Amino acid sequence: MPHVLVVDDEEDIRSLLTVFFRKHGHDVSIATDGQSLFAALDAQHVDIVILDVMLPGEDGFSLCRRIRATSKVPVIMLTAVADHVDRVVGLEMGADDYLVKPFDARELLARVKAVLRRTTQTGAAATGTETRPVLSFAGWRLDIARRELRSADHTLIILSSSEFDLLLVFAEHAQRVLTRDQLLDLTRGSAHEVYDRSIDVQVGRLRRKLDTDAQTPSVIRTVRGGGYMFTPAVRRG
Amino acid sequence: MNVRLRAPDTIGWRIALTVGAAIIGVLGLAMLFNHLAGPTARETALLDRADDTVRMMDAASAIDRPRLARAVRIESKRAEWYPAASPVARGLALAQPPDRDSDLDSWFLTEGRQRPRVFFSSDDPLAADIQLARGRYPRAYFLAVELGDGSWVVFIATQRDWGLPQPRQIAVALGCVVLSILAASVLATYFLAKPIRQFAEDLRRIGGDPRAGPVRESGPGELRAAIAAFNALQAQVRKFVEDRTLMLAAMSHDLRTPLTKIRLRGEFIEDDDQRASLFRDVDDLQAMADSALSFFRDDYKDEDATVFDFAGLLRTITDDYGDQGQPVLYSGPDRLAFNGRPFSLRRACMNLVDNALKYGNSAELQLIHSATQLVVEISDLGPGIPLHALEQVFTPFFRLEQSRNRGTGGMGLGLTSARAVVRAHGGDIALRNRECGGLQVRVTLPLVA
Repeated sequence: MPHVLVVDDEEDIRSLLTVFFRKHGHDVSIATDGQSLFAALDAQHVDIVILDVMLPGEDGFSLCRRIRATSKVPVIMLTAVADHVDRVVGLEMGADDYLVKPFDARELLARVKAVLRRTTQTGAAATGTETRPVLSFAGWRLDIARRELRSADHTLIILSSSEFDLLLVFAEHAQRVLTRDQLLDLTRGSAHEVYDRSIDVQVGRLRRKLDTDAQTPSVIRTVRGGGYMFTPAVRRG
Repeated sequence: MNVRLRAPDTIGWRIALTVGAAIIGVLGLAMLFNHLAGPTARETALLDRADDTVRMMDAASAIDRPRLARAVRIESKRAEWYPAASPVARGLALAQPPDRDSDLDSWFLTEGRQRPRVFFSSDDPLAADIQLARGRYPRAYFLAVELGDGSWVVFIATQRDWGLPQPRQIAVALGCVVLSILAASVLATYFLAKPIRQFAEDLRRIGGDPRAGPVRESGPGELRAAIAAFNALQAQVRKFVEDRTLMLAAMSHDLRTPLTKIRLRGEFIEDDDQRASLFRDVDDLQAMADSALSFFRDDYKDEDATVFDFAGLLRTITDDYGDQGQPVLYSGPDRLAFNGRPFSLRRACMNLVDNALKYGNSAELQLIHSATQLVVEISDLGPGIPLHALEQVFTPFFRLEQSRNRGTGGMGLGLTSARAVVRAHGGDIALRNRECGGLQVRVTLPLVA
């Protein structure tokens, strides 16, 4: 059972998140400021930290950097400021993901799952010295933290949130056949799934954005007997 | 005593200087004119010789005087002598000098007293009266000096080349005066008007942006005072806007915590429909706070420009709306690289699509591009916008037909901030009602290599 540490100075948000995560099968600890945060980290094994930026005393950015200095535990930051600068600062500080208040609880759950999946797969979270996680394939660069896809000529390709999630799942399971059920399962929990759309539609949209011309075979191959395979080799960095 | 070396630079002072300069100019010209018109050094020498001649003739006996007079040649000037009984002498004796000619004051003295003398020209009535000039000297100056016995010596000089008739002399003098005054005032007003023009130009340049820096103070004192007052006013407005933005930012920020709580509590609502509509309400509230904040803060200025796929952006918008069951169509190229701020432009486009859906029930996006610009046309099938309101709809908080608003989000800032973003990219937004009905929003953006 994954252990979540929620750091927020708002009593209500702490208790609501606690109830929500417990309901979805997580262990939850809480902390209200930097001191109790590090005390909680020392006291037990924590799989992921959900960290509010606006805290009394030392702010979330600074705390995130201090966590990174000593631990590899993944961090998702919560902020009240929908600001690009803030977002970039958070990522520079070593946060693994970033959500703007008011966020959807299911969105947060999906992000927690995605971050946990990534970090357990690679065995560790990004450390402070490491650059942000980036996946490269066939000339494309997928910046996981920034949730950005760029082409070989550095052009930014706009992806919807669910397209990004699906592409990330593909890239993390490259050259393996994934059934529709598996894909649904891996991307499930995302708030963007509320409009019952089929995986096929999503794949179609991704192909349209990734396939530059009709001659070369698609990066996402349809596998007979129900499923898709992401064909290019993926490497980190 | 503290002596002010620099005169105060005020408009009054500048005008005074102008008037002074004009007067000095006129006086200078007049002196120059007099100098040209008055006797020269050479003429002074001639007057000396004329003076000698008068003394000589006064000393000579009456019998010798005509011969003496005929013998006199001073340059081209000749002399004539008229006995006291002659009509010319009688006429001259009766004549009052037309005016005292101060140029001649130092000549023709006898025993410390001035000899009566008359200076006149052929044009003067006197010449006609004494029947001297008729025929012989149509254009000449005469200098008549009375000798001790009442007889007169008349020196005759043909008129000087520069001599002008009276009206023309007046015309020349007037012309000089007018010219010098004009020159002085044109120069002065140029230097007075220049800083005022500069001020107006600065005002136009900073436009309505309260964040623009202060206008440089220059020009005369009164104008500098006006600029200082303007700068103070602008600073006040800036402070006001900043305070208001700060307040809005704080409100929008503080709103997020209760909204987050509402969203989290919403997770515990069992009824899916109720939960979904609660979330929609929260989203609307948030969108309103965000749009107000982003409008007042112009936060597109914080986003970095990058090369991105504009066609992909429109496609993503189309797909997102399609997933929500909204009829949005896209036609255009598959790819189009554009250098700009993707999030701001995405929000701007979404504002426009939102409007099309809200008032026109559908949206058709078309992307066209040439080598220099791209055009996005967003067309709907709604009622369009009355001609008189086509520009008005861009004003903040303006809403067309309040009653038709369905209360779904928006504060009347969508078009305003969309245009701000597009203009920040060097483009513009134009609205027009389509012939076949509905509104077409045309966004043009320059493509830079």
